[in-house]
Amino acid sequence: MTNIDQARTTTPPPPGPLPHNLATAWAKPKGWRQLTEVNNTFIGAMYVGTGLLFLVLGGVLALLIRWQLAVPGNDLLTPEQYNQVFTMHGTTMMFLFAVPIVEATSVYLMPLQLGARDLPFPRMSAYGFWCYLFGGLMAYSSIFWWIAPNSGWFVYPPLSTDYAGDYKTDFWLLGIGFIEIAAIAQVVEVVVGIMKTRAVGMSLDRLPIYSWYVLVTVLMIGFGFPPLILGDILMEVERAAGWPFFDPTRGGDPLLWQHLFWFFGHPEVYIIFLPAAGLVSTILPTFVGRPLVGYTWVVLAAIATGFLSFGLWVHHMFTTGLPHLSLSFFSAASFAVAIPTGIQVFCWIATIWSGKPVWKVPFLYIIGFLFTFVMGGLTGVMVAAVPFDWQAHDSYFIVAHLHYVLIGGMVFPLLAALYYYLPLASGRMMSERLGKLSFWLIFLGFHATFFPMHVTGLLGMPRRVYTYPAGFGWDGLNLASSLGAAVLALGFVVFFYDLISHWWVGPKAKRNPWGAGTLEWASSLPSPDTGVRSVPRVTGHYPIWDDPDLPGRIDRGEGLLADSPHGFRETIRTGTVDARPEQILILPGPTAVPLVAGLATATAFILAVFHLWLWAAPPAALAVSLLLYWAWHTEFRPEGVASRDVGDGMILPYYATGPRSHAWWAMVVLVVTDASAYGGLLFSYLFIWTVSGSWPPGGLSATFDGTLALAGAGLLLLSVLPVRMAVSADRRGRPLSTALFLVLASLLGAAAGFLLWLLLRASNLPAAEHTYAALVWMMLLFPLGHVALGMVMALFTATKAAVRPRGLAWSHAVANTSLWWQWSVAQLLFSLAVVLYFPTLA
Amino acid sequence: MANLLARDNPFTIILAPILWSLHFLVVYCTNAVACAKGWGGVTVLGLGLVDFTVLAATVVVLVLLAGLAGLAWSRFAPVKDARDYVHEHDPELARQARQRFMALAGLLQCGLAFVATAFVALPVLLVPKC
Amino acid sequence: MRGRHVLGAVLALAALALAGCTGQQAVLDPRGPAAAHLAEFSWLLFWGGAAIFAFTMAMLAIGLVFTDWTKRTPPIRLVVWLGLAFPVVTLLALTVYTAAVGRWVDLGRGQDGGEPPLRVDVVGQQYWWEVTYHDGQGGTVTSANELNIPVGRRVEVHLASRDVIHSFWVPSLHGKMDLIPGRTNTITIQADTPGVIRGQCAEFCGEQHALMAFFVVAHESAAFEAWLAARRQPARVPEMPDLVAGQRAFLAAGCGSCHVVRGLAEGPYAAVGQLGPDLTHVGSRLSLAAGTLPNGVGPLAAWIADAQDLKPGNRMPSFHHLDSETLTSIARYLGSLE
Repeated sequence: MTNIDQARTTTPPPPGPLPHNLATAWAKPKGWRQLTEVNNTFIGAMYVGTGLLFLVLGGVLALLIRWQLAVPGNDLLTPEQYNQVFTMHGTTMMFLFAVPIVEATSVYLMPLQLGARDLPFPRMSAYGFWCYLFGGLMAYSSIFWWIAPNSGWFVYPPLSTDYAGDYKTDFWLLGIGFIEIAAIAQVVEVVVGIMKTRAVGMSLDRLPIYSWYVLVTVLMIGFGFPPLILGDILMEVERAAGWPFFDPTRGGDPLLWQHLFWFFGHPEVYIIFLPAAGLVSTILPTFVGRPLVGYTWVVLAAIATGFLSFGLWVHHMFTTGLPHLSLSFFSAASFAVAIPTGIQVFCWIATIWSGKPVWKVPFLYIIGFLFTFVMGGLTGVMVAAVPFDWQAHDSYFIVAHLHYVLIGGMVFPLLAALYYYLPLASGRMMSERLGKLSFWLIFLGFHATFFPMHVTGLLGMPRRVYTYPAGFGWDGLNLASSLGAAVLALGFVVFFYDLISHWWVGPKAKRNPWGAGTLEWASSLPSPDTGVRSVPRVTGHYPIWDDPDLPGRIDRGEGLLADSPHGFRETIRTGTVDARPEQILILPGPTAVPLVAGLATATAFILAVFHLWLWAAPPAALAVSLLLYWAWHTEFRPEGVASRDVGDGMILPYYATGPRSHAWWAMVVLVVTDASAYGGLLFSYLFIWTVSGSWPPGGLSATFDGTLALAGAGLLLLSVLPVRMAVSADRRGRPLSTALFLVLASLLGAAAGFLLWLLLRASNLPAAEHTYAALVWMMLLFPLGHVALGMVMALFTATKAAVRPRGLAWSHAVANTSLWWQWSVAQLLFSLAVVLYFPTLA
Repeated sequence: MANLLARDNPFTIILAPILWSLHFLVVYCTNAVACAKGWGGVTVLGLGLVDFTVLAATVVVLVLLAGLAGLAWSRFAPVKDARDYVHEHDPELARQARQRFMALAGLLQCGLAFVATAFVALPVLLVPKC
Repeated sequence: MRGRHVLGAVLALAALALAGCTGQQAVLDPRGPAAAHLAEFSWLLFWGGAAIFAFTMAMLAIGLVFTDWTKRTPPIRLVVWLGLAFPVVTLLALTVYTAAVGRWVDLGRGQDGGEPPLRVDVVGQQYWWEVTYHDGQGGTVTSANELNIPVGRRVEVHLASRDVIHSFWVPSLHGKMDLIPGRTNTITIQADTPGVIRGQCAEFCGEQHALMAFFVVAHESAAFEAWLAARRQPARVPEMPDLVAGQRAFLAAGCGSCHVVRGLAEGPYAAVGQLGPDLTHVGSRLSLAAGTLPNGVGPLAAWIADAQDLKPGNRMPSFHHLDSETLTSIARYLGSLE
């Protein structure tokens, strides 16, 4: 234990100069070209900054809400304006602030903490970020023209589909849906990053606790977002093409949307909370000077929460008239999720018990978090009790509860993390004095705003009302909430003043200013673009506390990868479980492709909101061509350098294929994510079956041509063969055969797709007239789209293999095409079986 | 992934919550479909359809969880406290510490999944079906 | 815009005016058996939660203050006993108790041999409630925005929607139940004492979600029967000349294309429309436009003239073009329909 105290009191010496080749490899471009940088230290910082911008934008809307509700009968906003404001407040905070900033924080911190130079797919992070920035700003700006979504952040049909007017709901569906897709890109990035790019020796049992939390979180995003994206697609198809999915007059059911939405929506709460809990688990030990108590227990809690949170979605549908027993299953699961939460809270308290607190600003925010979050957690148990929720649901009690959990559980830890981690980015310390002031303003303002709402709700005030009558005991409570909001806002003003000004006036930070034990603090401040100076060998959870000399040894280049003899940006790829070094990943340098492609994609989506399809075509085409250009330039494989000594006499290869490669894992993660979307579609089909009297319902009869189906299925199965042969041809180093097999597979796929299209055309099912028909079309079109994408991939890869561009390889592309192809075929065959045979079973 | 239960397979950590998820899915879907389709009268072995399914699924899952817990315990208990090994450079000792951690994580998951499965099954005894 | 100022002023006035006669709308002020159980349950959860919160914060405070003493406790014990064992036991008990409360408040079940519940159908629409009473002999009476019920008798409310999702919430009687297009939900309520109780739509339903309230009026049993018998009658036939003129103006203005007035089904301007509330006995209701305005001749006239300013986005057009004399005349006629 003396090691810890020593590490906490010594300041590592300033680092020597970087080897020239390392510095040039990671040099950031100058001037406007900085925007083409893809390194996580740049993208991550911009990403966090953008998240904070949306916090402010969402917060302004919150103040408008509180202003309107300060007194009964206020007319600051018209009803329609108020509805847009509260819808955009929720949408902005959830989709444009909370989830992105969670991902942003991990993109920024993760490599530093894992001892990697960057995450494995820097261009993808950059593309995701630019999509988010441009798409988010465009979606948000709808409020300036009062054409913002106006049916709540949950956009329940039929209100959102048939009664919301033009554009408004489309902004939500296309603008937000597209940002959700960008979020999936970060999922792939972060999952593969945590699994594959760690410091040597950072085996699963030594993984920084924050990484466990982030791993669970991004996997949850990967499972929870796709069904919502599918729901977005269904709803947009209903709005744009008139195919009914949620319209009860044509066989649909509004509750289907609620299932799809909350299957994402409830895990969403934990997606926001878990990374924040990870930050608490990381920061707290620093301020009590002792390791986190119960590392394994906290890992347990994070993973268990991830799973249990998917059993809670109906928890938002307790008043929809579902069977009481069904509700009770979800109620029980909601109670059960309190157990891992309890474990975490007491792990934190036990950690405090084991040490002696240092009352700096981040620690204050953590105590504020514990106070607030425990309260929100307990009201969460209350609303998990079905009968109580019948009263509390959609009342101000819920508004209170959710802000306790989200602001208490996520914003307070985030503020702690900003005070704690900003020296990494700025090299300066924020002000302790202003920090304490902002803490007390925010803490007291928060409770003054939201505590009264518990009472307002139990006095019978419903949510989402633009005004309320006097005389129900709501007036004084609402005024108190509004005054509290003003104090809260003042606290944020102080905070942002401190945040911005510290960049110029803050005192220079010494190295490891808080005396922390985790690897991100081993670097000099501000953290250099190279990330870690040399990759150390890790033997515990707190490398610096384990070895106070570690920063010095890293500086002296005693770790791995201390230079870059070939001038590449490099990081080490390690084994998933044991973190044994296996390969050197060559990372891409600055490029404008993600920036321009992101701008083009966002523009195409926003034009689509206005149904300006022709106008949307050029930016869409630009985006697609840029993505193809980018894909062409992946798989850098330098000629003549197959491997090099990374230090310690360890020689690692530059290139690896198959299940060892990071690209293969990326595709696996993507397929799993996509499977979740497909699961949502299958659920929709079965759900509509349960609410329909007969199947096919309402006198509909489908005539499926058995021969066509059989021929289509046969061709599909057959197409798997050449795909697999392409993989083995590639393994044997025969690019031309590889290309030919891939072309053959595409032809078979095209033929099968054509037959199945004929099958659909001949099936006599008018998709615009009944949900059953629309679902049958969707069940086949969705996987057909996958096969079509697979054909693009196959032809693209075939071209690359045939051309054999210098310095580039294509084995990852072949393997990934094969994975995608087989998954698409499996999906399509399964859909076909369901569509053809389920009606006879049912 | 050759052996799902291998000591070094991270899946051993999440098998327990996966079992919980499957149980939850079966239990919820059965009741939802039975209520929607009016299968309230169907009986299996003298029990109502929903009662039977919940009971059977619960017993199966709890037994599997107990088995998994036993396996995890047999890997966890014989190894000395990981604290002695945690800072080891020796790859063999580091491997032991890692596998002990994974066994303990799996064991705790089994415990929590056991409790959560029992929680979810409990209402079937207390709450009217549809 | 003129409408906004009118709206603000009228709302403030209406709010004040309504407050006096509205009765209660609070979870913690129960007026029936289900709400009483729920209020009790709420208090139980509140005190239980408060105790756990206080205890947890005390544990935290001990760790922050008595740092030398706490270092002697093996910290993982805290996690095992307080973080794991305590929640498991507490939540187990809570699961069982919650299920019991769920049965107690479900008034629709297990009342063998008692009086069968009165059936009332409520159809939600933007932004008002259509209420249809079943008299038990196959007859029905339709009204709006007011649920008159007998004290001490269970009332089975069938809930459906004509457009978007709404939610039926009378906190002083029971929890919420949603009105979902394409589905019918039921909730069984009961009031124990006579009086007026307020309810409100609780699921966001569009522009005027905030102004979609209703009243539950609980009568003694005999008074309820009398009330229902009176409501079965067609609309009162006007006798005084000004009311006759009002009726004529009402029909001439085309009101009948959206509203029903029973007894006026004949003639070129019959009042048989199905889009708006049934006005057969509108004069006897407590409020206008689903709790937006108090009832009375003045508010009736204001509403007819300025419906879109008073409640923008509702389905009733503003009849700006009617002169004030006609408006007053129609309002007086409608006010007489008790």
